Amino acid sequence: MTTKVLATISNRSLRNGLWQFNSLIMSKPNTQCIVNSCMNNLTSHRCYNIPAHCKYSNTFEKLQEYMRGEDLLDKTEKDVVENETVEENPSDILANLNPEQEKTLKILKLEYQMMSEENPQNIPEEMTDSMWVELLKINSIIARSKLYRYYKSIENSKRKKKEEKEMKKESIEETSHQVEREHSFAKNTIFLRILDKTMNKSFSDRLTKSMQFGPHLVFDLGFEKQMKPREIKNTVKQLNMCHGENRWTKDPFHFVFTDTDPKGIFLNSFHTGNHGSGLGNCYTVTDKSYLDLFPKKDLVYLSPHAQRTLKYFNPNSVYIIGALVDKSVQQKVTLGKAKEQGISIVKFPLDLHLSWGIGNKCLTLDQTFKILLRLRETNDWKESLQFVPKRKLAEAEHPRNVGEYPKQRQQNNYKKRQYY
Amino acid sequence: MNICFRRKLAFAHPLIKSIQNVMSGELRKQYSVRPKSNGALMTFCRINHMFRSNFIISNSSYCNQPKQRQQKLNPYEIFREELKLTEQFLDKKHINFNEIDKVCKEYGTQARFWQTYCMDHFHHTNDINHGIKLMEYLEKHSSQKISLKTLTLFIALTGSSGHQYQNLVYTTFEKVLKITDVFDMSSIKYLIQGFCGTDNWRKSLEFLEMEKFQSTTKNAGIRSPIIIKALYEGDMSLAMKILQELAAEGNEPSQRVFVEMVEMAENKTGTVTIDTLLDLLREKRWYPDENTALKIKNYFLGLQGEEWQCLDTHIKNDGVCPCCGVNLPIAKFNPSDFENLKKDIMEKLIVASNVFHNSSPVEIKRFIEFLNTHGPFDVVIDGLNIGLCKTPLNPGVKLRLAVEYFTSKGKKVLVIGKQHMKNWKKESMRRIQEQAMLFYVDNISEDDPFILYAACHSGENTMIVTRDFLHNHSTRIGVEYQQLFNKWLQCRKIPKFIYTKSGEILIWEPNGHEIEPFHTTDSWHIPYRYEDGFKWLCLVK
Repeated sequence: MTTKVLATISNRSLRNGLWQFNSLIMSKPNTQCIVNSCMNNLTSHRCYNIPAHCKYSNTFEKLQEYMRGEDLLDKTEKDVVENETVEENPSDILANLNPEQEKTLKILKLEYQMMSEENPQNIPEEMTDSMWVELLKINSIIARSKLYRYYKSIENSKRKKKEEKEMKKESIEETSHQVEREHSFAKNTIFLRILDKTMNKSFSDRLTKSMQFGPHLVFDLGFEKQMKPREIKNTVKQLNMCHGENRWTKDPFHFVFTDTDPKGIFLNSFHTGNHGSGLGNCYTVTDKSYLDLFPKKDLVYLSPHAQRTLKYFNPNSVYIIGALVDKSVQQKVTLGKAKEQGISIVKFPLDLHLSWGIGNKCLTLDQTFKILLRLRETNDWKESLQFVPKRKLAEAEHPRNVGEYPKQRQQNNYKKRQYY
Repeated sequence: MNICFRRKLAFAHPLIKSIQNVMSGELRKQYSVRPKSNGALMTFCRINHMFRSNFIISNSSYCNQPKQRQQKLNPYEIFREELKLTEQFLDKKHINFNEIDKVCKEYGTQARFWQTYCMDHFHHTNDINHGIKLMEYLEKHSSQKISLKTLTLFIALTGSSGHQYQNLVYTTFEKVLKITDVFDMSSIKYLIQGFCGTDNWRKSLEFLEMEKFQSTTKNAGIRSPIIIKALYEGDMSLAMKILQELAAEGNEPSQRVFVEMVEMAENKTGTVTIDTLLDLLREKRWYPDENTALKIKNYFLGLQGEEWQCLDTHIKNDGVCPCCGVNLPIAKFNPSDFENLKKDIMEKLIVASNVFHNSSPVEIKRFIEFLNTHGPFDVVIDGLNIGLCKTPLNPGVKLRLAVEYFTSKGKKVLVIGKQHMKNWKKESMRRIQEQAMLFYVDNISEDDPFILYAACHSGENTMIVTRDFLHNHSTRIGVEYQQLFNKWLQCRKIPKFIYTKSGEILIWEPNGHEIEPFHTTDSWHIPYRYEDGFKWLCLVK
């Protein structure tokens, strides 16, 4: 069932960001039947109204039954497990400090003053209470100055966004008058008009299908203690990107986030907002491990340090991605965990299909997810490995790769292969 | 056109000729020499030293790293460059501060830096008279507040310039106390510099207590003025206590401390002699700089009533000084310390935070049983590293040649590799198994820590054969055993291992002697840092 449906874009929906929809339809031929499927099944599908607490429930057996397609709406409403953690207010923490900690705070504020006098390019202009709480935990000057630099970069990006918004507002106000003159039929057109609401409904509709029957993808959130808060923020951002990509596809994955800390930052980040900042509705979060949810045979861990390579996408197996941003972690954490539990470990065949130039073979979360998605659609490695960043490849015209050195490297690799 | 040096070429004769041509100066203008790898750079330095030329090696080519970004200028530097403060105003004999103030007010928001910048300049050039004039001007005429940094800088200036300015330090410190009673790291540094010039120098120990709120490690740069002052006053116990604290964390005091100690010995102030310095260097394994070595040399040349002959030399692996023929002492290891090092390698490198990151408990059990049954070894070879080096020979053949080289000398050899090495050439692997012991680690786990543990287990005298520098492992080991570990690698790891095309092996044997100051009745031998390696001062009566 692939029928072309064209959507009109009104001025209001353009502001809301629906223009992406049109561009995606034009660019990706696979996403053409999105609107068609949603229009038919939207009202009839009963599973759309998932209770909100269902995704936070600790008893996962109910969710397992739910995956099988049994009707659980009434049961889950009764026994709601409220396990939401109360976040402490940073201003309260600063008010109740030890005399020693108060002294350190005083010193840190003086240090901030001196640093901002010396080097204002790398130090933020405004400091909030939550920033001071994080700074109190650090015990070295170099790490503190790095954190200041990070805050400054956030401040700069926020300022840039504000300026861009203002520029856009001005430009839209200018163009809107012109558009009204061109189409002066009081907003009457031949094409269907689609709101954001209906689009979101269609997306979550398809996600519910995958929750019941479809392929499951596990994100292992058990590495929270080994990361810094700044890295955790980056992982949340990358997970959001994964979810955004997942919504637009024809047959999406079902995301299962396992091993979460009930008191950690990850779980709190799921609570914050369904639109924009947080993830959408249809996914599961538990504090159980993936060994309890799925049979051990089917589990496959994806890790860059593995020995065996993945040959094709197996729809019966459940793939696990370790949610880890390793700026400071240097050990092979994901490999160690999988080895300890006795799960089969697998890596992407990067060396077989690509000529690698310079760089680490660890990929980001959204890159690995995109590769998996495209592999499942096409089962073609060359197409799916296009999401590896091109600066890491040998053919790319990166200034580092143009000189004499990589040529020598390639020759050496060629010589090595002769012997094997 | 770039002339490229490789490791193979470094030992060929035609290269030396070409370098001789370059040194003569005709080619130097036209071509730039760029060594590509780390080893090539070392050989290049050696050749460079042989001909004593003024050749410059470009830093960008080192290890093929990308060039560093151009750093943005500080506001101080922007301020200085755009206004040209130093040229216009500050280099004069009589400075008119009113004029600077006027110009800076026109300049804009960054004008508030002008007082700190001026004071920084005076602190750098040790110009006390202008510093006092500036403070007088700021108090009387200017409407601006005097910032904390200018006050602390002024204290540092007055303290370091002389004993007669003591009272100025105390009065300005009272002004500082009105602003804050706690201090951050940069202001502590200046305050200590200032107070060490006065009679009340023990107050600087109070500032040191403020440091523990900010950082867990102990800064060496802050403590060096206190050490120097304590030595001048004759309080040896305090100075040695601070030095001990630094040594416990693996820190090193600045070279200025050593220079001051030499000067004290020269002028015979306090209880410091040259022997206390050299004993300290020997105990803590600190090495002097090139400049401090020159100071020590001048001290010995200037001694009255004694005639000393001083020479700079390179001492090779034999441990014999080429100038006077003295044998340096052979390196020894304390057996109890060595046992502790073995435990530390097990805890920090193999087990670490989780056993499964680098290996597995089954594998470790198998490995220890293997070591206990097959006894100590004389040589431990890193099979993968030696087999897969650059020379165009079959990896199995290369390993076999290396094993045969050591077994022909009558040594017991252990080879550690990974499971996939079983797929190498079967004949050569069979012959290796006949002559030496083989241990295969799993494909996923790391093999370097196993090699280190095996060598450490079988005793002091076993050799390690790799081309790896093993720097990353030395950082992971605990602070207490880091010096021992580095010394052990220096003495027992073979520094160079090369195949020729015909299949012969060239080996540089490691240093057998200790690298520390050595004393006989009429001679001194003192090592000092020179580029990457060491050079020696040979002093004979």
